[in-house]
Amino acid sequence: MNYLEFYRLKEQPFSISVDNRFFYNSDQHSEALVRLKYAAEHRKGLAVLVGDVGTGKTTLARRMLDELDENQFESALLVVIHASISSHWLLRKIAVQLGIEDPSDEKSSLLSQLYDRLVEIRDSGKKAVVLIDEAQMLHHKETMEEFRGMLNIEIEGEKLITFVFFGLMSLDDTLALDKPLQQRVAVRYQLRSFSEKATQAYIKCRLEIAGAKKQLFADGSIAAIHKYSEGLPRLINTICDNALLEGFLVKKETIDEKMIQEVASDLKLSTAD
Amino acid sequence: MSFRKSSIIEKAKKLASKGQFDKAIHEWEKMVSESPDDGNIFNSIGDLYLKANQKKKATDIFVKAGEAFQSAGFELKSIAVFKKALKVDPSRVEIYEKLASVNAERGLIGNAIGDYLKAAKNYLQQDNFQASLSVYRKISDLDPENTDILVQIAEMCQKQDYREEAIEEYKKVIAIFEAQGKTADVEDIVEIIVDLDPSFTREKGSPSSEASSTEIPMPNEEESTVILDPESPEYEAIVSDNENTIDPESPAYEPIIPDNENTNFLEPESELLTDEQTIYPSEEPFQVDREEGTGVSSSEVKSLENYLTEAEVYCQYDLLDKALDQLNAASEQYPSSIELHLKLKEVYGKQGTTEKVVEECSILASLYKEMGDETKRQAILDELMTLTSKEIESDLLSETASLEIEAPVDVEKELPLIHGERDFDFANTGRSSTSNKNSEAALNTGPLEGEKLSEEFSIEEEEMHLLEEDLSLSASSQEIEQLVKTDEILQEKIKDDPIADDSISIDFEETTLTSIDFENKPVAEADIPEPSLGEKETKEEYVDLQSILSEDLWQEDNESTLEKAIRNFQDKTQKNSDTQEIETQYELGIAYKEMGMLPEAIVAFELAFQGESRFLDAMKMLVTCHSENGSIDVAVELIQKAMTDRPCSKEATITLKYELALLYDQQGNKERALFLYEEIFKVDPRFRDVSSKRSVLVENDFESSWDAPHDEEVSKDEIKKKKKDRVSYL
Repeated sequence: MNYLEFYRLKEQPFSISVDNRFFYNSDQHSEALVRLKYAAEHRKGLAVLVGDVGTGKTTLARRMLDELDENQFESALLVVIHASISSHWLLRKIAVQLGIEDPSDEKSSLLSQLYDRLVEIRDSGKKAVVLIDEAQMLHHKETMEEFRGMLNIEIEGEKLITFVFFGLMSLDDTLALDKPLQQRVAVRYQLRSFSEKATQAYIKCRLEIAGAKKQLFADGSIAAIHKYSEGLPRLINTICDNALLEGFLVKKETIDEKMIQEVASDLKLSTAD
Repeated sequence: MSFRKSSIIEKAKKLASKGQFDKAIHEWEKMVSESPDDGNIFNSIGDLYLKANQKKKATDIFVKAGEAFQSAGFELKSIAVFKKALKVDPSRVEIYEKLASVNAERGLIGNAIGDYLKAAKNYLQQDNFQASLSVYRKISDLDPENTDILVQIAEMCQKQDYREEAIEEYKKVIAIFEAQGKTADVEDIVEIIVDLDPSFTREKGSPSSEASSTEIPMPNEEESTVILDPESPEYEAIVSDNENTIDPESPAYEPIIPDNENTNFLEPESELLTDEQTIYPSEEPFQVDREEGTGVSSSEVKSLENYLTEAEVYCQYDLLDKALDQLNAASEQYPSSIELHLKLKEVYGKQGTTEKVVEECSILASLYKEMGDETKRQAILDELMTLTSKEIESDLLSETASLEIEAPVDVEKELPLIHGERDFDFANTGRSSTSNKNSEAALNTGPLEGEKLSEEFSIEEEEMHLLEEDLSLSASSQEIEQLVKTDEILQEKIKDDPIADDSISIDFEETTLTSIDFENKPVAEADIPEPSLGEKETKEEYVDLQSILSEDLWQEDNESTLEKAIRNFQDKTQKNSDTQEIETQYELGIAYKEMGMLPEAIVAFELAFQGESRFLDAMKMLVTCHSENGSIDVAVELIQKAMTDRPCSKEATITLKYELALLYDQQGNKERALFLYEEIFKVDPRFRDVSSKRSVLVENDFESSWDAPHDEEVSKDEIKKKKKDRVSYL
């Protein structure tokens, strides 16, 4: 028997891997999504979403990708996992994701291909949107210049491509490497950590999706979870997941505050105190 | 239906089932007197004759049925039964005409044309020219303004020596051209008629009978010559009060000034306005004396701007020949005018005369060189390269393209080709030593990285120089082709990923360019060295354009020009199909199905299936038709394809699933059928009889299963994969 069976859950409610089914549409996530989609729909060129670690940026990026109707948008998500990618490589990747089958090695030809493809997308009635997660890792000036160059591509006053950057707070510094690009940010939103109320709602939402028939966390534990996680969804997940495991091990039907403290201590999470 | 009728029909059916077809027919015929215009009766009688193997009578009766349906306004049934008649006896040409007529009534113009063409062809095969002419005239009646068809009909009559008929058609063409104001075209046709009948005179009062010269057809122009009465308001409008000179700024200039980008010659300081338009009122009417056919005043040399203006106006009215007349006349006076040659290039381009375009490009290249404008020269040479590599026609290969460029020709400059490598005598080419070195090194070097090659040796640029040199040596077009091909191969090599074993050197057979005549004599094809390629390349890299193009250009055409014109018209009408057409096709399918003509019904339903309005209905009918035809597998595939290929609404999806379930049931695949019934049941338990069908299968212990990837699962997998593909990691 594992904790899923013990608590009669269909699946793990607090997995830290991104799963859109567990997307919790908090007020701020909802607002962020609306703003970012607005930027995409109205071809605003550049939108930015920043937030601290674990605030749900990647989840939001995936969510946005899902919500961009394929009949209206030609969208792609690029996740930066290495800081040293070149601008040329980036362009090629964007080209491939937008549907260019054989991107040229030569930059001017590649740009020409991109332009043609963007016009093709536009003519088909769609809008090209590229989401870039962990965008703060693109901290080369020439990379920012490439983005600026692409944002200059317009027809009849409409930008042919919209970029949405998701990144840590340092993304603002990255954008500052290229002032003209920074000025092109049409929409910016910052994700903040959850309030205690939002934390409670978040936990409840995930438990419901996972098939829980009853509240597994006592009220006091919620406050503790909020305190130790500082309202960051990723930490909330980590704490709750470990707490459920602990609860299963000691056969506790309801997770209380004490258990949360133990888990936090094990995880070496500092408190706000 | 009256009791008497129904009893007759009952009796007839019984007799037919016993094989007593004659008696059954007799019974049906009793009803004809009561309902002489009922196509259904004739149709039933025709079916009985068919069963009795009396094909001629069956055909005759089917024709009657078709005519009856047509009179009663049941065009689709009429179409169906005419087609049935043709199936029985395809030699009945007159039925094609009837069918065409009904199609035309129904608005199925494309089908009408197709049927008329069949009839016409049949008549021609029977040497019945008059009948075929009558049919072609019916086709032209479908589009009375289509002068192409009328002219082709007239030409056909001419060829068959039917002069009167030809003249009649030409007169119709004249009437149309007159209505459209195309006086020049009217004149052309009049000339043709006069050739056929020298006594022909046009009716008095028509403008073209008074015209003795050609002029530029201006919109709303009523007079053929520009004659202005000094007292006329028009004259006063163009003469200013103060100075009795035409005010260049006056809007009166506007009608004669085309909307042209190159309006620099319209500046007040330009020759046009200062020299030509200073008019003083005189007693005599102002008249432009135009030389016939050229529009050029015989009494004075026109300015370049005039020529260009007139040419532009001719172009706007698609009178390219006349535009070229102007421009060629201008080129005699102004041979070095870049503007003129640009215009010539443009007009030849519109005309599709590539050879001439190439010629103009060469002339322009040399003119730009004289001016020292390298950028424009380069652009022209790029264009020339594109033209010569893509659109070399056999004309260029068989005759020497005259590239009389005003550049110093040094016949001493030889570019020897030796066996094994292409080796240029760079020392004597006058190129910079660096560029010589680069080219030599590049060409003689072994396997190279593509990028390295382009970066280090600037091959692209050098090959351009080589091409220019060869052009300036007045080489024949065959050599140009060869060199362009060489360039192309090198370019391709540069673009390719590096392949270690490939050599980029190109082997040529042992021939030197000195053996090729540089004095513009045509070079026989056999003299042109066919380059052999390196190991990894195949001969197919060198495409024998001449033989391919000669096949395309001089391939025997089985279709006459008249038929081509008619087919063009047919294509146009078929492109304009719309919702009404979808409805018609659907109803036609129903009509065919009622007549038992399943293949025709399937075709019609497949057409109706393309539209949104009848997609589901046509799908259901297609499934029915295929099932009745015994092709249940085809029907299954059809539905599966429809579900995956087209975005369906929820209702449509349920309907399609239901139809699919029925087919699986029919096929004996009960498990799949049950699976689908249950899916439908979950969404809408009251959908048709899904509940009872489901219960029956469950009671018979069938288990809902889907052993192969279900459409939904497949599509979900595909959806997941698609989403995954949208995410990439940098």
